[in-house]
Amino acid sequence: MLWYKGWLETRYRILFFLLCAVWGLGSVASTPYAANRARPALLAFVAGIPGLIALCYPLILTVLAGSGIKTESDLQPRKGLHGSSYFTLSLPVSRFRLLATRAGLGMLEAAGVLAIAPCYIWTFFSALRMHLTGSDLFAYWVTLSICASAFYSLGVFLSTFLDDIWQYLTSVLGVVFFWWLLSRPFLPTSVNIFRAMGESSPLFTHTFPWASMGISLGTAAILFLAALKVVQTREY
Amino acid sequence: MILFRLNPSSGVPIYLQLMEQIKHAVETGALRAGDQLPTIRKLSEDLVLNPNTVVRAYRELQHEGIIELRHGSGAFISESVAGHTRVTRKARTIVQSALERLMSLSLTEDEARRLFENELAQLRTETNSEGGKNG
Amino acid sequence: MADPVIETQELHKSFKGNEALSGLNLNVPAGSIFGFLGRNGAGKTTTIKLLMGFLKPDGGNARVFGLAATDAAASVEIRRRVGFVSEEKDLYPYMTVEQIIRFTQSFFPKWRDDLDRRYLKLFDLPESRKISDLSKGMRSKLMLLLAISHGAELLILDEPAEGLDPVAVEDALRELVALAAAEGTTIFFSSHHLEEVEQIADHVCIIDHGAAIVTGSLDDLKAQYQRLRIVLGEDLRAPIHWVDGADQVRQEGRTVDILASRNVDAIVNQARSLPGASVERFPVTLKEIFLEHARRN
Repeated sequence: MLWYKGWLETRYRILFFLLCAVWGLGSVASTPYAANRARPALLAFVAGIPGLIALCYPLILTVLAGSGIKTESDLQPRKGLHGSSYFTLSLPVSRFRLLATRAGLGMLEAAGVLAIAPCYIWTFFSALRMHLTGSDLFAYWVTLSICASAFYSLGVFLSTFLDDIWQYLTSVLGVVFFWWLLSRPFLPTSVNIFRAMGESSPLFTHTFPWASMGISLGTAAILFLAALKVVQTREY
Repeated sequence: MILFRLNPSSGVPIYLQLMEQIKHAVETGALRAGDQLPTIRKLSEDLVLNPNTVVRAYRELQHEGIIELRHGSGAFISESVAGHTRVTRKARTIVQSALERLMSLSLTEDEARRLFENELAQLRTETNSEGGKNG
Repeated sequence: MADPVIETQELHKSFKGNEALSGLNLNVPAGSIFGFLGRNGAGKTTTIKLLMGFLKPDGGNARVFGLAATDAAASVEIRRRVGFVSEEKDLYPYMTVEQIIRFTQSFFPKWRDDLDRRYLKLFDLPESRKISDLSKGMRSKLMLLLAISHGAELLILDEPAEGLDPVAVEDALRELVALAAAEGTTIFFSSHHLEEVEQIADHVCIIDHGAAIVTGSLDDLKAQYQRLRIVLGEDLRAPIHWVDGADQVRQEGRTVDILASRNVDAIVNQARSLPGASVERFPVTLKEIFLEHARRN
């Protein structure tokens, strides 16, 4: 029933992000069709779209992660109460289960929203007659989901002790910081999670960027455990 | 249960009030020997009282011989109450004549009541201290 | 003697330097209706949050059903057997009445369908209405419904009648009393409405500044406390040093008013020993006991 409750809480948010994603990618998509003149430039542009998604998606996800954790009863201002109303806390459920259910549901929803990306990518690429297989697209979707899990976990972790607006700000800053950090020349490109979602993704390399995916999952796990520790020791 | 009117805020323990009212009902004849009292559950629900309060009242009344708790069937006014009513009638006559004499001294109702309460309080203290000496 | 359902020993809790609980000792007997009284900010809600596992104490211990309230796993087990109403009456605004009943029901195997249907009708709660559209009073009633219907052995209620009109309060009290009579449920409720407590509680505890200052069976307390009005035969120049137990003494001219918490007979004897004194005794209400202790501290 916790999954059902989570769904009731987040369904409008998901719809909102879905629409945003559709609109966002849609407006980007209209550009190539309009300026269908210089093909090399266009190719470069379209090739860069995954890179764009690679940056935007984590941003959206960390913010989504935060709001996914909160219940709508938090629309009432309450000092320091993050995520759980007393009613929820009074249920015979461990705090681990509460956190895990919300995080898990959010992750699933995120993967669902994310499915928009492969659809659009397919549309551009086929318009430009760049070859993509169905398995490539599916691999792209999987890569995106896994690589973004680190950022999602970051959002979850931050939301356990920060209020809404602060959580959004720190999340965005965090994502931008990591984007900058990972693009530093002294780090190998295989570690760059953003690249893994963009240039190094299965769309172009036709293989999985295992290193990045592994790092992302590892980071996600650590952040989740940190969030769990916070939630378990919190006083409400 | 229209027979009982209790005041939870009065400072007198509710079970005592209930006992008093049951005894009063017996004295005025509203309840007669053999009449059945409501079950503990029903009375506590009707009067919105703690069931333990009713239990205590019924138990004390049983001690005093006013009611009988018949296992399985409930609480009944005991037959011996008829004798008690005789005593009450006698006492009533005594009080009536005392009051008549007090009123002939032009005492008001309130003055008379205070006199009685004072004497009762004095009696209680004397009984208690006597008990203390012996206990 | 059965084990107490709730037991705390020297419970301490501070928030940012403010001491909310300063050594609270509580003992709630099984099957009792226990009124937990105190002024606002005395520590009632903090105590309840500790029992429910929302907070951890700084010192002392708290046990419910003999289980340690501070242990996370034990706390889950405790919550499985407790029906709870929070002070905030916060439910999920996006759920309907029916949805939240089904939601809550899924966590409690001992749920009583008969009770939830009965209270739905009794409290006049519309099943398909969203909780955000309910009045505060209806939310209180809904929370009470949820707490009572899950077949719990113990109810922990934080200001359960908050926001209810007198008719609704009476309905709520009646249902609590009926539950106690039928199932032997222990009911622990906090309130600052003395009349409610006086009506249904058999035990009370008055908490002030984080410690229990009066505790015990309500009947015993009422028997123990007495108010004495003494009229002296003449004005006494020297102040009288009353024996122990004369807690609140006020004198105006030849009238002395004493609120005695114990030793009443000794005080009465002392009073009678004064020249020309007459003594009247009055029962003491819970309100007077409460105010007297609140004033003292």
